[in-house]
Amino acid sequence: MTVKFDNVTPADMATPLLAANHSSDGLLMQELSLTGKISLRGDFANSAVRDAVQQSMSLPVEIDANTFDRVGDGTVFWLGPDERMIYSDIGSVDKHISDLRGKLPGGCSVVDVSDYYTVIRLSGEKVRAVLASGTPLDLHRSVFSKGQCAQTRFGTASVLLSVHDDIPVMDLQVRWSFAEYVWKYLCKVADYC
Amino acid sequence: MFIIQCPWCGDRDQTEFSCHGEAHIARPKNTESMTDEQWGDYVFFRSNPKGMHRERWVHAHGCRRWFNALRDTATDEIFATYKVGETPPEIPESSSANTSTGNASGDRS
Repeated sequence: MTVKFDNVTPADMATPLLAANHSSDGLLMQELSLTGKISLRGDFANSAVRDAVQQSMSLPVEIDANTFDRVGDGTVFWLGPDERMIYSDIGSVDKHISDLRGKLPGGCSVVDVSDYYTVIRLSGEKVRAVLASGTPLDLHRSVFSKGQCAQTRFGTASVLLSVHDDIPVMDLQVRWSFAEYVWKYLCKVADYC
Repeated sequence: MFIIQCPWCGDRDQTEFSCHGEAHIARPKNTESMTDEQWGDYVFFRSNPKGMHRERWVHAHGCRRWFNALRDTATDEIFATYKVGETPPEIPESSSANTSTGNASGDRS
């Protein structure tokens, strides 16, 4: 499926694939509308850092490696020992960022990366087969199940995969400029899986 | 497929990583008083053993953290990976390191 540029509303323009979607037997793929994304770096062993994020966004930041946690409309992903990705409603990102910057101690970094990445949601029984065509990550449900996330590669693009349901429903976060490449790759292999 | 254990993420495929040469090379503190030869040795010259080698790796497509690995350059077997700052593990006796020349024990640090 190719990305079409006619009949595009301003809301669709906010994402690189213009809210593209694909459906075939056992597979649904949809680019999600723009989500607020905050890149947070700091020493999460420091209770002052944990408390600041808890107070600002009600989110825990001390989570296991390669897992994510969702509280309300906020989601926090483990990206590295000192790095987290936080999703929130796009309308409240500015407020969250100023709130975090006000509360966090020195040595932390809070950056709005909402329009640096886009998220493609994949659901259906063929999700694992389609993703396995491009990533070396072990996607078997016994080792990659609900609540887990992993940064890996899909083709040559660095992506963040997360499992939201064991149906399965998975989200693939990719950099804006790689989105079309990944989308075309996914659509192509969907025909063969 | 070649599996490497990231100290943070666990077992991952080789293609997620990249290697950046010999580990445990500390920048000299007396840079003003060094001769050109000494400085050139620090900047350009690395040991090139056949056998055990301590290397810097980065989990480029994953958590993007740097770590060290103990790898046999002859067999490509990785004996251990460890975080930056951790004590390097001992070289296994059964390895082919006994045949190596050079300083595979990483004594340049």
